[in-house]
Formats: sequence, C-alpha cells, structure tokens
Amino acid sequence: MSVWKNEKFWCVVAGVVGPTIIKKILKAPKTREYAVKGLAEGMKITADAKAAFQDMKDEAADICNDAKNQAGTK
Amino acid sequence: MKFRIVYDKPGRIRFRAGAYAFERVHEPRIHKACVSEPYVQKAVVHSENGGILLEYEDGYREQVIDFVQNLNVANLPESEPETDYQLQELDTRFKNRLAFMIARRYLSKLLIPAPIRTAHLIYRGLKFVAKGLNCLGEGKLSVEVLDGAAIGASILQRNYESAGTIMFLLNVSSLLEDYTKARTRTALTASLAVKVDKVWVVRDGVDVQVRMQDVQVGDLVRVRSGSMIPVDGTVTEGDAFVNEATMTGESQAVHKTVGKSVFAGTVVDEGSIVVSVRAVSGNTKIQKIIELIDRSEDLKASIQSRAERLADGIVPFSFLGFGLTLLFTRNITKAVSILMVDYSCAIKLSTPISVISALREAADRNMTVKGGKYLEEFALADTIIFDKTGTLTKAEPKLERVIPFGERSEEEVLRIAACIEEHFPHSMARAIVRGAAERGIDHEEEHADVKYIVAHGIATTLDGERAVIGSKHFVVEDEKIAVGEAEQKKIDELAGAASVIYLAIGGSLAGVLCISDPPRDEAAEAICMLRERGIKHVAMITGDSQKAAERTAQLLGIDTFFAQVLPEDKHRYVEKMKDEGRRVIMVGDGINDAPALAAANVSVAMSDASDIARETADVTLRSEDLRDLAELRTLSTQLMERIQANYRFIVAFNTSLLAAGFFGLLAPSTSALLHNLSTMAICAKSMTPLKQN
Repeated sequence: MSVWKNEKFWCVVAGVVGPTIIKKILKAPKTREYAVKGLAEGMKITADAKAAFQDMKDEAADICNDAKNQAGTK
Repeated sequence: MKFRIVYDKPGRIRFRAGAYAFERVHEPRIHKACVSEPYVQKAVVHSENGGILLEYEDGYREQVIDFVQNLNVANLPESEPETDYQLQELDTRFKNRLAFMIARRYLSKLLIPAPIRTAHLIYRGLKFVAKGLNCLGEGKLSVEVLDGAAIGASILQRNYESAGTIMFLLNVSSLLEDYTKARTRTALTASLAVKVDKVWVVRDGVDVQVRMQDVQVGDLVRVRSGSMIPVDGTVTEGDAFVNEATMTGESQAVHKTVGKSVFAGTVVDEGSIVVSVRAVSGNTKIQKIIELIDRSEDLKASIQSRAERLADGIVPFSFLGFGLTLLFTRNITKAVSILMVDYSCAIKLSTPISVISALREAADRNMTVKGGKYLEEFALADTIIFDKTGTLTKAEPKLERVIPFGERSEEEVLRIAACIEEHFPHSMARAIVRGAAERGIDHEEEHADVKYIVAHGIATTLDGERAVIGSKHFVVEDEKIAVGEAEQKKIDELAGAASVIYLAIGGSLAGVLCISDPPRDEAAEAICMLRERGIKHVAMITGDSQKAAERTAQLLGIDTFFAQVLPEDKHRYVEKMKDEGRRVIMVGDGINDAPALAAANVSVAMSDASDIARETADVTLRSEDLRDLAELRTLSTQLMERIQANYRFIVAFNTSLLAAGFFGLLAPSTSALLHNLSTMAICAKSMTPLKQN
C-alpha cells in the first residue's frame, strides 16, 4: 500500500503543516491590518451605540423633567 | 467648546458636543468647573455623547452659554472627583450594570445560538459550583453550597433555564449589595479628606506658595487664621488657637505655642504659626487613623449578614429533604427538585432590598447608617452607653450662678469678669460673657492690658488694683488670695456640681462664677423613649467629677454612671458590659470615644462629633436631636420584623409549592411561575417604606 494513500500519513502531514500555516497567517501584516481595522470598527460601533443610548437617556430625562414641571411637582 | 443646544428651558439647558468631545477622565474636571460657577445649581456630564446638563438660577442663561463656549477641556486643572460626582457615577454604573444584566439575559436568547449559549452558561455555572465546593472544603454548609448544588444539578439534568434563572437572581442580589456598600462608603469618607491644594512655605525668610504635593518633611509651612493645617508637625514660630475638633471632638480651641505638635486636618481659629513638617499627606496621623478604621471595618465585615445567616439556616434542611426523598422514592429527579426550590434567592434578594429601603428611610430622617448589620444590632441591643460631654450635653458651658463676696454686688462681679474675659477665646470665658449679655449687663473697658496665663487664667490692672480671674489653683495657690472658711462653705453649698471660676481684686476674693454644662433639652425624653422601645439599661461614661456625673445621671434618669474615666479607658467599660452578656450601643462624639465606639456592638456619633468619631461610628446622626436614637430603634425593629416576616412567607410558600409539586398537584412549570412571581412580589413589598407607629 502506497504511503500516499495512507490516511494516517496525511493526518501527520496536516498536523505538522497546519500550525505552521496558521502561524504564518496570524503573523502576516495583512491579517494584522484586518484585525486592527475590525477592532477599530467594533470600538467605533460600541462608542456610537453608547452615545446613541446616552442621547436617548438624556431626552427621556428631559421629557420627565418637563412632565414634572407641568404637574407642578418640581 | 463646540456644541449644540438640545434642550433649553428656563433654568435648565443641555449642551451636546458629540461622542469624542472629551474623555471620561475629563468628566470630574468639567463637573467641578461647572458647579464652581455661582449661578450653576446642578451639573451632569457624560463623555459618551459629550453631554453637559446645567441647572442654573433664573436670568443667567447667557452667562451659562458663554461659560460652556469658553470651556477649554485641555486647560482644566486635574482634580479629585467631587463627592456628588462620585455618587452620580456610582448610580450610573449600577443602573448600567443592572440594565446590562437584564438585557444580556433576554437578548442572548434571541441572538446567540443555543450551543454557544449553553457552553457559556455551563462555564458561568461551574464558577458557582467551584465556590460551593470551596465552602464545603472549609467545612461550611452554607448557601454557596446549596447554590452550587442546585446550579450543578440543573446543568447535569440539562435544565439550563432553571440554572440560568438562579444565577441571574444571585447576580442581581450581589450587585445590589456591592452598590449599597460603595455608595455609603463614598458618602462617609468624603468628609475626612484634607483638601488643601497650595500652601505657603517659608524659604530664606520669604513666604513662597507651593503645591501641596511638593511639600517635603522638614519644610516650614505658614498657616494663618481660618486655614486648615495641611501637615503633621511642630510649631517653630508664632502662636495660635487651633480647633482640633476633627481629631478630638472638643470644640474648644487649643493654644499652640513654639514646640507644640499640630496635626493635619485641624484648623487655625486665631493667630499665625509656622509649622516644621513632620509628616506629609499619606503619613499624617489623620491618614493613619483612617487606615486603622479601614482595617477594623474589614474585621466587622467578616461577620455574616443576617440574610446570609437566615438563608444558611435552611441549607441543612434542603439537603435533608434531598436525602429523604432519594431514600423513599429512589427517584433522583424528584430528589434534585428539592434542591431546586430556591429559598435562598428570594431571601438574599428581598433582604438587601428591605435593608436599602430602611437605610434610605433613615437617611431621609437625617441618620446615616453604614450597613444593614448595624440596624440589626441596633434592634437587638439591650444597653446604651452615652458619653457625657458633647453627647448628653451640648458642650456649651453656661453661667449658672454668681456668688459675690465683700462689698461688691452680683451684677458688679459679673460685669468685671465679663469685661476681662471677653478678650479670651475660651469656652468658659465665652460662657461668662454670654451670661452677662443674657442678664443685660454692659461692660466697658476699664482695665489695662490683659495677660493670659495659659491654662490658668487672666491677670490685669483695674483702677490701679491687680485683678485676677481663673481657676482655684491660679487664684488661691499661685496668686495667694485667701479664701475664708465661711466663703469656702458658701461656695461648696451653692456651686453644686458646677465648675467654679474665682475673681480676686486688690488681693481679696471679689466673687466666684459657677459654670455648668447642662444636658440637652431633649436628653431625658430621649432616654425615656429608648426605655419604652426595649432598652433595659442606660449608662453614662465621663471624664468629669463624680459630683457632676451624679447630678447629670439623676437629672436624666440614668441607671449607671462611670465618672473620672480616662479617655483611653472608656472602651474597657464597654467591653466589661459586653462580657456581662449585654448587647451594647455606644453613643459618643470625640476622638477619645473612638476606641469605645469601635468596641461596642453598634456605635452612634452625634452630628457635631469629630470626623474621626463619625468615621468610626456605624451610625451618624445628622441632627442634634437625641430622640432620633429612639426613632432609629423603631426603624431597626420594624426592619427586623419585616425580614422575619419575609423569611416566614418565603419558607412557607416555597415549601407548599414543593409539596404540591411532589404530590403532583401542580405542574413543574406552574410551580416555577408561582415561585418567580412570589419572589418579585416580596421584593416589591420590601421596597415600601416602613411606617412609623
């Protein structure tokens, strides 16, 4: 039986080559560039979401304040 | 600063500068700058959207807009966050975390795929299991063990919904507890900080202003009238009257001359001194005391809270039920369902809510209580010990009586005494001057220069004759003024327990002035009210004479008193009473009371107490009314009754659910629904105010 047809052989090869390729990919400048970009996008989305949420809370507080003024409880 | 005005009504305006206008670190600086403006009443700053909300006095709209327009964040000085800002921050953080927890629980079901959600739940569940195993390893059969067992069993049975609910409720209860602790601590420690930014340092004979952080040990710092002494040190020049109330609780200023020690946090009332720095901020005595108190607080915190003890009490029964069910039914699912009855969640959730509600009620009534366990101790105490001066009395000496001798009238003696004493900033002197004013006696300057003899009295010349006024030691022994037997007898008879000030003119005794420190008007009523509310034993500790203590005890109906007690011995009396099996409340005001306050089961500081006493004490009264103690007793007793009632309800209701489920009367889903509804109902009820009877 040819070694090339042996499944176990290919598993060993995959076990040796796989991590090397993954390491290469992780260390590649492009990967880093995409990761930084992705993180920055994520951070911006979080910041925008926080700002939007704070806007909503502020507006709700203002409406509440107006209602209190109208009801004469403030 | 560039901004949009998004809300503009009279007295309230909201600016929005956008998400990146300033950083979170700038928030306290902007807040401080805003509230420093005289017309700004309230400021709320958010870096998330660059929002600044200002509430201001009517008519200042233009100034407010100008102020925000000219606000340059980069130029604002660094500063410690104000207490108000810190409290706002705590509130916001608590609300956000609570919102996040609720959102995470319900949104994750919609957004996250089930396998990932389950993996995450198992990961979180394992933490609870590990905590339970830890407790078990230490030989404790506590709620943590039950929680761990219930969560672990739910996960093993693949009942992830139940495991999630238990963990969610436990997290909410722990969040509530942390929030209460942090809020109380922030509000209380604020008063102790020595807030001095810049000081005057004497260098080569010239006063130079330097920043506080640049002051070194050995520097000479000049402190003038009205300023706080920022360092510990020794007086090297000048003299001054220093108010050491922050350290000692005594409102009477102490005369500090060259060579005497002064401490950070005390205030120069009158005079100017140069202090050689012995310790700067961080190493000062006031800081050391704060650290000491911090450590003792940690010790106290190790005592389990009432809620935990109540919940812990049920744990063995849960495991017993589990064992019996397994034994009789041989059905593991039914047995595990016993562990799943979640008594502890409802107890652990409703108790902090009841306590927070009671703490808020106490705060509304001008009483600050540092934690739930102190309310519990206050409810259980059977003995109360009062410090006398400043607690049962106002520490404001009062002129009781004037006894004239020779040919002088009572009015004349008082007029002369007030005339001499008005130059002397001493509490006894002030009592004489006030006494003269109350009796409508005018006193013009008739004497020559006055000479203070520290801790003794005053000497001057009046119409060519030497006049001296002061203690018996000064007048009789130092000045050799003779006091006849008949005169002494009259003084002993009429003065009673009061302190006596002697006045002699031209070598003979002109008269004496009797000064006493009367009890607070409401003291007797407060003691009576405390007895009605279950306090069995009332005691008093004082450094005063036996006679003075006896009189106060008689006036107020106090059972036991300890007179002539040295400040450092006060705590021994508290410990002695505790050894006799009593649960003791100690009420005090000065730094000398601090060890006694720490030794008691629960301690109370009066509103005008020293900062150290306020920090050491578990309860602080913000009004001067001693009747608040009785009110606090009522509140704490009602809180305990509520916790007990909740406990009984939770145990009875959940046990009936358990039994109904066990005998097949209720479906498990109905049981779970009723259980959750009852938990919510009991929490809602716990939020209602405890009504005063």
